[in-house]
Amino acid sequence: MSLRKGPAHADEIGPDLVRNARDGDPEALRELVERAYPTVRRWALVRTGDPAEADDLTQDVMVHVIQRLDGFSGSSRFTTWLYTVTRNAAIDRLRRSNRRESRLAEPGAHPVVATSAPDDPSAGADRHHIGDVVRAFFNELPHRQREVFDLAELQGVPAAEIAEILGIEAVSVRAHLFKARRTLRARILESHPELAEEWT
Amino acid sequence: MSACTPFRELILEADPAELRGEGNGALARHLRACAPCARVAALLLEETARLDALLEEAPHVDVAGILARAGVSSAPPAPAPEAARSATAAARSVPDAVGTRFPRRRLWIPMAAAAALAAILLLRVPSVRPPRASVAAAAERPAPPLVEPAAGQNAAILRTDDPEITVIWLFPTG
Repeated sequence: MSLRKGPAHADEIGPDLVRNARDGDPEALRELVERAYPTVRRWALVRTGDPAEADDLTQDVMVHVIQRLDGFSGSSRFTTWLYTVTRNAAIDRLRRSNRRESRLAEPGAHPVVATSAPDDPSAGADRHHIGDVVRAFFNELPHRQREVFDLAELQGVPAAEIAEILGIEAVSVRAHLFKARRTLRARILESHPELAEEWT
Repeated sequence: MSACTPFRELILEADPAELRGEGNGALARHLRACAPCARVAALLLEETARLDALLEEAPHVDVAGILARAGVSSAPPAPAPEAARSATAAARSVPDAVGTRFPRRRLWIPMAAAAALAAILLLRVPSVRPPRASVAAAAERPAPPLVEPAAGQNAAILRTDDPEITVIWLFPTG
């Protein structure tokens, strides 16, 4: 089994490459970073929803991966371990960020995702704007639904493999996928008033 | 109720292949026959592909920067002065709870340098003379002061060529 796109880079990281990188081979380390980076960056973007935040998180994760390569026992696939490292770093980063925000702002305040209203006449006109809107809708999903939607719907990873990566049951993967699809598609259709008459 | 109504519910949860009208499922057959529903399905596929492209966009990978942050350099390390070597040896004596090898050790060197510089600047505030920290010259002087770090701490002693300045850096062993 191999992950279709982003994770395909990380899937090319075999035990030999990990061992050589762990032993301090500079070329192996460089290769490992180059292969893992796109995968981690995509996961980080799905997780955070913010490109700048994703860049920072990816850097943190890559540094952590290099320094903790000994923590990879080889009993699981490297991508599974990589995903765990990414998820833990994201949680840690969010926790630190929340602590900082709680000192600066009132508790419970969350950033609001700006999206066009369903009756916005400009909706559907600007392709780039639409891209932003779709991303905003995606970012509104709960993080688990975002993770599953990205892996299953966009990257074509089988449910069983996603279950292993995320540490959940395959049946939960499908439940998250259907919820994410339904929410995201409904939001997309709401933002296209030109289709509303046909749809309702 | 329109003939399309039941299919519109299905469209919200259908697999991408079904939305493309592939296969012989009821929805796929309907989409091949109904232009309005096919337009909706095409729009959903298009927006999903756009989202995929947005997520795939990755900036240039600064491999050298990442390796440097991790305390790893692809260039061969420069020979270290005697005192710096003993400082590195002190770092090596720190237990490594996660079994990490060279990256954390190398990370210690720039951290020690930064700590030494900060300490020198603090100690030399009244003076206009720029700080100097030639550890090689300091290595020729007598034994450094005795330091007993607290439990859970380790100490590094960095001497400079200024006899008035000895930098003592306490750091956690974890």
